[in-house]
Amino acid sequence: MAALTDPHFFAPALEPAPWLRATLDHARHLLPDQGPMGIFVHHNTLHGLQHLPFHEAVAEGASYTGARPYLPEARFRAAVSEGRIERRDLEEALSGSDRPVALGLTERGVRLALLMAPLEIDDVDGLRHRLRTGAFRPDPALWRASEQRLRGWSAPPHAIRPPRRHRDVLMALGGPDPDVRVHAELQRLCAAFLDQGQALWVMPDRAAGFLRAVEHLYRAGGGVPRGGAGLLADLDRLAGRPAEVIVEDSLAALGVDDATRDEFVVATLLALPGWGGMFSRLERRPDEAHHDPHARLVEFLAVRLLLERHLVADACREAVVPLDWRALREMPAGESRTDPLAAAVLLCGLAEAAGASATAVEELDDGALGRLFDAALAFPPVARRRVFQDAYEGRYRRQILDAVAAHRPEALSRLRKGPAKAGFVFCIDEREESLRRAVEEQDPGFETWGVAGFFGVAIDYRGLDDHAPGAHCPAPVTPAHEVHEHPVFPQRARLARREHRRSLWRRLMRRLESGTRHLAGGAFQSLVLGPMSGASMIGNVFAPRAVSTMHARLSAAVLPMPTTRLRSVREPLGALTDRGKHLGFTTAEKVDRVVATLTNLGLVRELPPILVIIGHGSTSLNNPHESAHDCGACGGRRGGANARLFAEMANRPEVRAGVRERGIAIDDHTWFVGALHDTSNDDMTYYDLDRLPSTHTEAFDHVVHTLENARRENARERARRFDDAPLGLSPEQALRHVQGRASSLAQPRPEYGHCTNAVAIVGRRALTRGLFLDRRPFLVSYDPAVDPHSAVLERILAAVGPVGAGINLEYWFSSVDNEVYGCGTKLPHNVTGLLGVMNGHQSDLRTGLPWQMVELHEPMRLLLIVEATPEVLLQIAGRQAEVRELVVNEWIQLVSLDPSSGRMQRFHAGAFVPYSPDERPLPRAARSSDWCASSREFLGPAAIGPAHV
Amino acid sequence: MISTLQLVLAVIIAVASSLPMLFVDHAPPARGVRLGAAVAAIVALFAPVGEIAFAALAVGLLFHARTCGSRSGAAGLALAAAMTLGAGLALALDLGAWAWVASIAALALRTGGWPLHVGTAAIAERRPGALVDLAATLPAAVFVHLHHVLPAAPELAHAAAPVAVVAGAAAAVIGGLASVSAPDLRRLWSASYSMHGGMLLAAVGAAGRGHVAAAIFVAVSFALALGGFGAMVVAIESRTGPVTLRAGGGRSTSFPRITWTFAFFAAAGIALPGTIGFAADDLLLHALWEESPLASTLMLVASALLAVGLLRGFSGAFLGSPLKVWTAGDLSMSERWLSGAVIAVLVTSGIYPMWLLESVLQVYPVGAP
Amino acid sequence: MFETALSVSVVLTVLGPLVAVLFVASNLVFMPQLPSERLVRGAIIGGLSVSLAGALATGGSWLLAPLPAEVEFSPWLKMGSYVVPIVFHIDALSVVFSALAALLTLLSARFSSTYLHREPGYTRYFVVLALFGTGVQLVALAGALDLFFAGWELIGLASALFIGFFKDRREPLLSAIRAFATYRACDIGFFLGLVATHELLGSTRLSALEGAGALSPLARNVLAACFLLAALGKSAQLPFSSWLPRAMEGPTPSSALFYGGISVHTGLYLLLRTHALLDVAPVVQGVGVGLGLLTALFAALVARVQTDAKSTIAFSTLAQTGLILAEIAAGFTTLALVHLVGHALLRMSQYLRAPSTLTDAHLLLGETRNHAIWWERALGDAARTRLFAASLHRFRLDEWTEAAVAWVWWSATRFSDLDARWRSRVALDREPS
Repeated sequence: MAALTDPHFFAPALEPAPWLRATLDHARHLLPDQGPMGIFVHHNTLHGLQHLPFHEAVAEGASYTGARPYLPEARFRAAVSEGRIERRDLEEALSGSDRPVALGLTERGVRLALLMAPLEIDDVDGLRHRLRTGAFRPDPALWRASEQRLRGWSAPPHAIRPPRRHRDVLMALGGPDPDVRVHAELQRLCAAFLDQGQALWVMPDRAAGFLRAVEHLYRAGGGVPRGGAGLLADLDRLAGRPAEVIVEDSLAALGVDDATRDEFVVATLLALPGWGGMFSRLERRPDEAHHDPHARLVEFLAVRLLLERHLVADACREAVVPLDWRALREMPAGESRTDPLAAAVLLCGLAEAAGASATAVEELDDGALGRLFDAALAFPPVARRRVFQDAYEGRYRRQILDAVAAHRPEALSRLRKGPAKAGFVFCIDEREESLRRAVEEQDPGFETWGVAGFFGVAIDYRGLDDHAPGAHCPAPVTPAHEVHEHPVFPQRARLARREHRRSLWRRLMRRLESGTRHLAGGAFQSLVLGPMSGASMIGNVFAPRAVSTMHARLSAAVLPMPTTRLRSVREPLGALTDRGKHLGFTTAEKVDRVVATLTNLGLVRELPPILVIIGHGSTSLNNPHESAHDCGACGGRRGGANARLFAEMANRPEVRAGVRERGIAIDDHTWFVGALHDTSNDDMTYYDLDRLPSTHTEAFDHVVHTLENARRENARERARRFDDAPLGLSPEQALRHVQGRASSLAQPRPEYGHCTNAVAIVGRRALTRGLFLDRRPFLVSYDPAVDPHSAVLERILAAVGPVGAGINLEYWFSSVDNEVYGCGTKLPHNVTGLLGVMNGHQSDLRTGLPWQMVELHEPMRLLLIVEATPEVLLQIAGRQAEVRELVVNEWIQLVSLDPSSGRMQRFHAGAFVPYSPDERPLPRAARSSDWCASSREFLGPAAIGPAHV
Repeated sequence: MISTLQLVLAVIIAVASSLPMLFVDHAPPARGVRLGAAVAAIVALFAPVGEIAFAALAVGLLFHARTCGSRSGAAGLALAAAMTLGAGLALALDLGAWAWVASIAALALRTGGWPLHVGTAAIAERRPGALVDLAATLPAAVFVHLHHVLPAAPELAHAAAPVAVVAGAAAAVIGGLASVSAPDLRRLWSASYSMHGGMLLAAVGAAGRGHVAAAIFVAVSFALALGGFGAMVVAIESRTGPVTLRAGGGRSTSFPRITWTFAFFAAAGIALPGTIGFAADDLLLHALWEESPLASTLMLVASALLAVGLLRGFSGAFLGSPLKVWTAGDLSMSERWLSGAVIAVLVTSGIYPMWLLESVLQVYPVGAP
Repeated sequence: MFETALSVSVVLTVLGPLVAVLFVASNLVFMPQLPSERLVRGAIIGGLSVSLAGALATGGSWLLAPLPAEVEFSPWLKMGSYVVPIVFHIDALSVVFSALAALLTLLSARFSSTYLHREPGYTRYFVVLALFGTGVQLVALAGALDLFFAGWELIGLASALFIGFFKDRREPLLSAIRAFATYRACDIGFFLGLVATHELLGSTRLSALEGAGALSPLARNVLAACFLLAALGKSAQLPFSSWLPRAMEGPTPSSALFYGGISVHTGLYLLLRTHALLDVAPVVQGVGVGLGLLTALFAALVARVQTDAKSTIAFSTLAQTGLILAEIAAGFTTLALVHLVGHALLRMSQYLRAPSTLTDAHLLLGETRNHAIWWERALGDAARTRLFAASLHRFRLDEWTEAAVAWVWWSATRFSDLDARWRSRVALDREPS
């Protein structure tokens, strides 16, 4: 008996009704899939729809989320008038038959006319004003004829989007938005429930799940929301029932029947996508949170419907419409027709495009007129923008393919014989393209390679100051190994000192931080700390770079850093950490990793004497999205540890012995150095230089000198994109500028991140060396000559395809609709629950990228150029499901570049089609800075360096 | 003998009257007729005797009635014209008290103070631009009242002051209340007009006890700030059609200049410090307090209500996420110069109101009956 | 000579930003192109720097001769005995507040010039910021209530415009209207107090308030209550607190300046400024202490359950302003001033660093934090949950406020409907417009 009165008796989650489970899964595909923001992993915003062809998925996503499917038409038109899109690109992207319509126009002709000029007008008042003030002057004769002809004729109606929820109908009737109050309450509850440690006082009964926790809160008597009187009654009636039952009960109360419930539930969940998405994400990945939140999407839905049902009922009563959804959704939505004046613009414009005369227009019969308007209506704005999008991508594709083709002969003629003077291995990240180019421009004897920035070592890494290990590897991989940073033996005392002081400091900070929220603590701190924090704030705002330098010096003095090593050796064998991972690697495991990475790079013979392995990360202040600038291949962390570890492994004699056995001619004279490049302030950090053999001192001096110059050049090339840095900075000034950005509290754009990404080139560096590519390509080293069975390529594509597409598509969606798919401008962002950001005082959780990260981005699907034959690519796609999905559904554009002939073929509509490049000589500049220093815009490819004779 | 004040007011009337003439209107009435109204007002301003002044005012009102685009409005204005003529007649017959009553009634009718707002409300809903015309010529009417009627009926004016003041303040509260719930821009315009009508009634009432400056300041601010506000209503409506305030408007993205000029005029109308409205409010509240603290309080409530109503209306019309992309151009160069000139006058008089006050004091020295 | 220097410095302090606004505004109206960021930034930061220099010079000259001084210009309005003077009052209080306000405004402008780069609304932001700069200096230095009120209104308007800065979204606009309505409602108190002061004490000069002791106890208390009402609104004390957390919709530096730094403290400054009146109005003093402590308690409780960076700071700020209000009302004015200045600096820097919350939390990971404090442990389970629920819902203050003003809206709508019906009855226009 006792069990029956216990409200938890029914609580164990029952299996949801099959339909509900399927519906929730459908919703999960559309909800944002971003985890807590401390670690930001780029992923395709519509990852859940990747099984659909790209354009269909875009339409589906837009219809559910209300997002813009493509850039606005005006943006595309501006691109046309700036020459960013050319007419031939539009013609190439345009479908449509040659069926004649009227006035001598074919269907295709009508479409082309609609693309070339804004003929469809939805702002009739503005049109009238422009006509009256003379801002719009159509051809007078045609205009008169069109107006004349359309008198007494009405254009065919447009379709109107059907409603999905009560709110849609209520809003269409001009009522207030019933979601406002539901969201105000729900957002607060969600934030309290999912909070990862921002509140000093944790929500009671969180462990019982969202539904129960909310129920306890309301029952405790802290007040229910206005209009929520029925809520308590519902809670009493449904006491202890599982969330699934409550969902069904609420749906029944709202009159949602079997036919519409799927759509209704999905739309309901998508009304507050950020929080819903977080429930969905944490339900599947509770490990991403510090405290297991026991989040379940169905409970979120249940609470939402409990809050919503009475408010919606009230709103329906007020608007005098039925609450019953079956009846409400049938309410006539009305139809909209083109206004006569707007119709005249369309007719006049089409006639002008057709070159028709005024009399031809006047003599159009009703049938022809109808056909004309039908043809125009059949090419609605979204279809037009889709064509524009394809053309936008097509133009860039032509540009880059033509450049690669034009550059190839010269590149091949320059192939170096013998080993390079020194080698630099970078991450494939497009932000390193300029640095690589700068290094190569410094000394023709230097060579660079690109490989995913975790360098093949997937680890959980714990640095000296880290609280817990974190995964340094691409997001889908779960590392099996853990590596820690340790002080060298004589400096252990130093570490102890450091840790002691750090812990004192952190405790003090914690005390102060929570103290400002208490009454007495706040008063005390106002009196004592107020002036101090004021002074530090003034310093940081007026002299950010100086203050941050001072800060770094001070902390170096107070918190001395011991010399450290990474402990990569697994000893004793078989040791597991308390998280169940191997601590370090065995020799065989190391050999595997070193061999794999060197093979990927094509670095199997003639290794240079010095190889610098350069990971990357990014520093910025006051930036919740800081992690989004770090290395994607390291799962949103910094790649320094991986670079350092790789170098450490590859320098070990026993590893080298193993590597040599596997056929890679690694010389005893070769030395690996790990390093970290900060993409924000362009700092370089080198690891374990105290172990550099003395034989390499001079050569390494030269390397460092080169990198010092290169990072300045890199800073200069980056600075040209920042509007607030004057054009024409010297390299030194540019470096200071980017350092200032990274150390300023006020800087919302410490760097532009992946903003420039557009293309991925998998192939020999020789093909692109000396080619200015404007920080746009992911450059993946791959040498088909050492990969006869394409095993290496398969490995590369399986990793690079999804990672590159993830980054590229996140930028695509966030820049196409920054409000829905992105998180809008950073300026009002407010960190909530340590989970993410919301706008201002209370809003949905904002996912995706902020405007400041994507503002320069040109949304184009990744153009993946692979130095391999179509046959090889098709074989690989056949084996790698995710790659196939991306390519076949055209989420990425795949181009095959034949390694021997240089012939290009583009995968389009299910098959490879040959591409014949325009044969135009590339523009040429002596140095990169000559080509780009005077422009802020994206620049086309150019050959850099003296012309080759 | 022409005073500086008359010259100043004439300039103000000219500037304010050119507002609607230069703005591209939705339904532009004949410019000649509009010009006629302005000319009539200036004639009234300079008329040496009350009878001529009132006759000119009545003619002006008939011009306004001709262009107002509404039958109710025309009827109201015709009634006001009749009252004005009546006032002139009463003056001619030395019936000072009757002249006062008729003149006040005409003022109330043309400024739409509740409950006499039927005509102006109808005009605002049908041709908002016509009210800008009407506001522009108001300073002449107020001046004529102060100059010719008050000396003729000092006792009545003195005795009726507390009543007029409370009635005006109450009417202002009702206007303010109406502005808070206005569903569209035209009704917001109508409500602001009506609220200022109440304010003017109170000011003119208080003038019966010597607070002449308040009445002049309120009338000038009425013509310029409110007129500018109306001109912006016309400007935005001619570009985007009638504006409802319920859904997000988002017009500021397409029309930043109209938006911020509108905001400025609206703020000047609710006594933004640094504009003449602030000086007018200061003088008015001072005057009201002496007649009736209740009226002061009511007037403050009215002003608070109107302020909230205007901010709500402003954000409803201009802010919010854009409903669509509007293609008409922002303020044209001539519209900008004209609004800039009006803003300049408003700001100058707000920061240095003594230039206007001194010209008032020349005619009506303090302490004179 | 000394007086001239003082006058010049006061004029620069007050008018520096205003001249910059007029310059930018004339550019906006008369130039064919919208002004560039560079021009706007240069003009406004220039104006605010002049203002800071003036404030420091004023402060410096006051340090040289630390006696309360009045700087008087020819009156703004003068009509017989009715005079609205332009007079500035230089004493320890005004010098400190003026320098603090000028410094923080300039700081915020410098911060924003980077932070708002490329943001639509850049010009608007800086114009409003400079309007605030002038308004707050008027408030700080005013020697008469009219001048004070002019500044006060500018601050209110600037605050509303900043809250609604992100005009494309609905929430900021509603929050702006809410804040503005609160200000205007409470300002009825200020204006009434102002007019009444003039009538009862013969002048609106601050020095005239010294004579308040001669008034009847009722008059004194009513007058003081008027100013208290205005202060409660501006400083978001109970029962007018509901706008403050919602004011976090604007860009971070403006939130920092207004709701951490200066604006939220101007209500308290008004009470410090009119303290002569408060001293002789014991009832109002009692009410002030009571409301201040109540606000402090309420806000401190709510601050504990906030899960986001800015609301946390907002409620923590509210708690301290409540304490300061109680201090002022209880007569500890020097303590209150020191508390106010330190608090403004502390909160301003906290707001500016609010986006670092995630980074900071990761650095501090592992340090205990969510521990119950003694009184929480002392409560029973049910009582604790109840108190948590109440705090999470902010004691439903928002909804109480909404219910309290709902009748205004209701009667306005009803009245408009009736009015429209009546008008259509008598209308002659038959066809719809």
